[in-house]
Amino acid sequence: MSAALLGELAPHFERLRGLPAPEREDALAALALEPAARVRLARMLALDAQADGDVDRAADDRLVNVIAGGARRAPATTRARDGERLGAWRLLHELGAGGMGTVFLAERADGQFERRVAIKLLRGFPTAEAVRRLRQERGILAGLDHPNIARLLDGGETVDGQPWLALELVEGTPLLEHVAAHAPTVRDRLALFDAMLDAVAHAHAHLVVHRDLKPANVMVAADGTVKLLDFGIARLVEAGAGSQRETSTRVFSRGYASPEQQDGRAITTASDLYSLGVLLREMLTGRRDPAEPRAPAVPPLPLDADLAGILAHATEALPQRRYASVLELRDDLRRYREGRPVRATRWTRGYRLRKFIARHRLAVAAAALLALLLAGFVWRLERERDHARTAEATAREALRASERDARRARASLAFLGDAFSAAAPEHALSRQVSVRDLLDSARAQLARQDDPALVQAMQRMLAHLYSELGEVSIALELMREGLAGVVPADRLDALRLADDEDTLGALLGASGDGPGALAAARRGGELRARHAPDDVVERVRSLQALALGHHRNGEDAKAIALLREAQAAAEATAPLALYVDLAQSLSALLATAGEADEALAVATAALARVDATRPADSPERVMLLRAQANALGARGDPAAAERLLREAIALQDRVVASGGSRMMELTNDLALMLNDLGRYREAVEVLRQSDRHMVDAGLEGAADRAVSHGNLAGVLENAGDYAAALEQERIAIRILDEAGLGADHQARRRIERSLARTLGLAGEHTQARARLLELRERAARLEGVASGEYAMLTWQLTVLARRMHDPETGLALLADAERLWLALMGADHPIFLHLRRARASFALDQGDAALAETELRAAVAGFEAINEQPVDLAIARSELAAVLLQRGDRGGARSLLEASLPVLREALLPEEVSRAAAERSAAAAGMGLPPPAVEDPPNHRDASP
Amino acid sequence: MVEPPKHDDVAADDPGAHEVTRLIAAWRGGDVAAREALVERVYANVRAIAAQSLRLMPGATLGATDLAHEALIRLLGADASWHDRRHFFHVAAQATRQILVDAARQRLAAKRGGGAERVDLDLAGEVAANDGDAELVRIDDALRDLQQADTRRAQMIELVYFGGLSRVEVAQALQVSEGTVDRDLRLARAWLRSALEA
Repeated sequence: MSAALLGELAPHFERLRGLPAPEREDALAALALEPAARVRLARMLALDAQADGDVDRAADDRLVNVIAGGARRAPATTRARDGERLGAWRLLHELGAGGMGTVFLAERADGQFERRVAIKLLRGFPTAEAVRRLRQERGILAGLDHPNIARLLDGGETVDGQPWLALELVEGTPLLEHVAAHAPTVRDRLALFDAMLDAVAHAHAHLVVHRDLKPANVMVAADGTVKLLDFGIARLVEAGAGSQRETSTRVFSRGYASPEQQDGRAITTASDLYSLGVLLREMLTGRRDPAEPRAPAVPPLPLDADLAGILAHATEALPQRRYASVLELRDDLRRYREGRPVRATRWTRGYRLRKFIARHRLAVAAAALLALLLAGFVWRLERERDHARTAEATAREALRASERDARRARASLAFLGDAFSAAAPEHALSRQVSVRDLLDSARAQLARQDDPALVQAMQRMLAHLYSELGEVSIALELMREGLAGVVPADRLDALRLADDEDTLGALLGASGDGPGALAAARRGGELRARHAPDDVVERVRSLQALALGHHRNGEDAKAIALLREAQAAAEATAPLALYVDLAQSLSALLATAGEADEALAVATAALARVDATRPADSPERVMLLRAQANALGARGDPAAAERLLREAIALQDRVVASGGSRMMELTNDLALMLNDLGRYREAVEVLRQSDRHMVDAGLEGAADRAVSHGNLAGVLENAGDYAAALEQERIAIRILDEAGLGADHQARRRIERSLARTLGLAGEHTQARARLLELRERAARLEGVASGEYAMLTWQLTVLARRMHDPETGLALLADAERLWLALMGADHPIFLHLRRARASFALDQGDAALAETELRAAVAGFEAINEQPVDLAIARSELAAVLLQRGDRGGARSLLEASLPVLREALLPEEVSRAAAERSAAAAGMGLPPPAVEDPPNHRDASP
Repeated sequence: MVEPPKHDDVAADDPGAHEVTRLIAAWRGGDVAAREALVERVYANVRAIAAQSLRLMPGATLGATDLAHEALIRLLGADASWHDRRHFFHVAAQATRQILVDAARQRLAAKRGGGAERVDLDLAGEVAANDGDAELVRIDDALRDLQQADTRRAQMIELVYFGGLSRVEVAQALQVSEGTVDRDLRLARAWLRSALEA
């Protein structure tokens, strides 16, 4: 019966629930239904209206409560792990189990001192990558130090890989129990809540979001101290589960979790704020939500309008409509306690809050990185202070100076904290907030500071941070302003300013101002020479900076000479890290200058020195192995280079980290080396790894990701796998589209050019032509017709016309391309040899084999003279061979093919157009098939997963 | 690069995660027996997890949703594809429901039969538990009715309440629009709740 009834009621339910209440009554009465059916429908509509129609907010409904109750009562047997040892701890007995794992009481196993802790065995078994992330997160959480937060003391993995955490043991009463027994008034309860807010604010200031705030995670100790448990542990569990983006592994407690958390959207400090709002309501009224049917958990107190307003504001469904930060909520509650007007009611959806919502956000990792950077900044200054303490001669003065600096640094941190809150109210200090937003806001706040020395110090610090983000122009402007007219107060100050000048030099170099970069390096050197004339290490730093200045100014020979001098001076005195740094730069410059043997010798000598003084697995080896590899690559020995790069990667993985930006560089190098070796399939695989490292390193900018796919497409295109290359290019374009990087964005244009080129190679001539023409219009509009981009596109159109055997269009384009290139570069550039190849091809189309021969002979002679591009030379030779065949010179053709085919066969896949043409010529000349490949035939089709 | 998903000692006698993936693949290919084998395995796991997750931490015990999620992680590993997850959750939601309802029925039967089994709760708690069990059984009955009337809507309820899927995930799992999920869930929920009041 019920089957038919539901079918009957469904359309009515659907229609009537949309109506306003009075009309619904009428409509219900008008339906021709059995009385029982009408009653049922009326009840359904009432229940639906009560649930507010919000399907995802069904968390608190009766069904959930009943089911959860059933789950709680499911049969219990607990396996004891008592007595087991984890790290320095011995498990005593199980305390309980929860959604995140099992909790044990534990004590120090070595009995060195008496300490009991709670050990939490996290559920699930993470992958190696997840373990790495977990360790990182653990490091951040261990930094939380607040009287109202139960500390994370230790952590590790069991022998079978299950992660565990040692947490401060809190003995006391659960929050609601304490409230019921000891906090009868609103004032008492708000005082407890205030301590909780203080703890959460502290965590947010450290970019840690709790993610699972609920009464079970708050204890009140015997002395009345509130302790928040499990700070950030939910995130650890998620990190351990290995998939942060999958909502399915998210840990939270329905009933307290914010709507965005339940939906699997970004979790921010605003999510904690929501949970706090629910918690406060429960502390005050005994219910999480006014409609909750169960008995109140604590003796309920009435809410007045102000408190109700504060609760409503904290638990707005949209994060950006809640309080901007926990501090603001605390402020409003204090106002309430002091009887001042609260702001909740005035805090209506202001644009100030909303304007930040849509901003692009950098990855979590970047925000964490910023926190580490800031922490490092303070730590460095404090370390300098410690050094100063031990110095003898000018101890007193130096101490005073460095204490001032450390104080200033801490003031700067506090200042940044304020700036960060102002940057993104709804995500204040959340882990999801954009580092850019934070820095932009900090920069804007500089105007409010009145101590010019502090402003300039802040400008310099921000310049470093922007430079870390790759924001060269902003960093440059800040560093310039931060250094303008600054007079060093003492030696330490001068040396720090010298470092800032070095950074300014690097920034100027990056923005193309070579002379400026060199001048900055000189200023830094002068500061060091004046204030630390006898310090060899400082002199080495100056030489290094000056060398890099020359390099940036295009004077590599001078740079190499200076680096040699610096290295000689560093040999005896400088710290090993500096010496290694110098060796690396010197080796790289030598390799670029074609001095591959010497580059190799420098890297090898440095490596020997590291090996003599450091343990076998020293991380310094990684970058020196890389330098050796690049030298070998430059020497034309990519196979040996590959071996060293793999060694460097293995070492990095073992002793440093299995991911990160350095791993990205190493894998990228390896991919290029494999590409050079013609092992495209492996190159593709390694490039994909590099891409993953890039994402893990937090370099998730759409442009970076798109370029990475573009690189992959390039290798695939080299390999002749045009279909796979096209797919990668389309992915790249989609990424840019999704990030809103429109048609005019440079990265977008670059990818589109590649796409058009690949389409042409894949035989999609018409489509390729249309795209190229359109791209050329864009280039003309954005860069002008005299630009390199316009010339390049004209040339690409020429090449396409050649492939389409369209000499009329092609020759006109060729003339244009030649004129444009000549305006841009010298006539001896190899591009003009390629123009000859194209002209020869058009001549053949028009039946003028004699002209074709002339042009190709000139091209071959040109490539022979340059003697740097063996593949280009081989292609030109094979093209000339084809013309000679056509003209009946079989012998000439054969000898050209004998010289060129081995090169082509080694470098190119059979599908590649030039090689395919050469193979056809070879067959026509009666030269037979290529020899069977000895190792690893380039079977690129396996490359696509 | 990708490590095989590990499984912990509760599932140690399990052939392992690959077996589960294989079963899912077979089921996707239309093998009904594979689905049964999968249900059996998930069932055993959810039981084991529930057994482990009890006692002494009021408010922090696993809900039905957590059970399904944890079973997923144990059996499939955290890196399972969404495709596999989706199929898995169908099974896990069903298994979770079965376990919870069976347990509730057993407890009720034990009470009626004089209560050989001692439940370690105070009296008030016991009464509340009794009520909860009865209601859980009624939810199951009502859901069974709904299943007869309307398989899709019943499955939606199962996925949301016993499997812990969000509306977006349900839409993907059942390959319908989110709007349809919203509409169907509202209807099904109102229907079920009104059935519980009857």
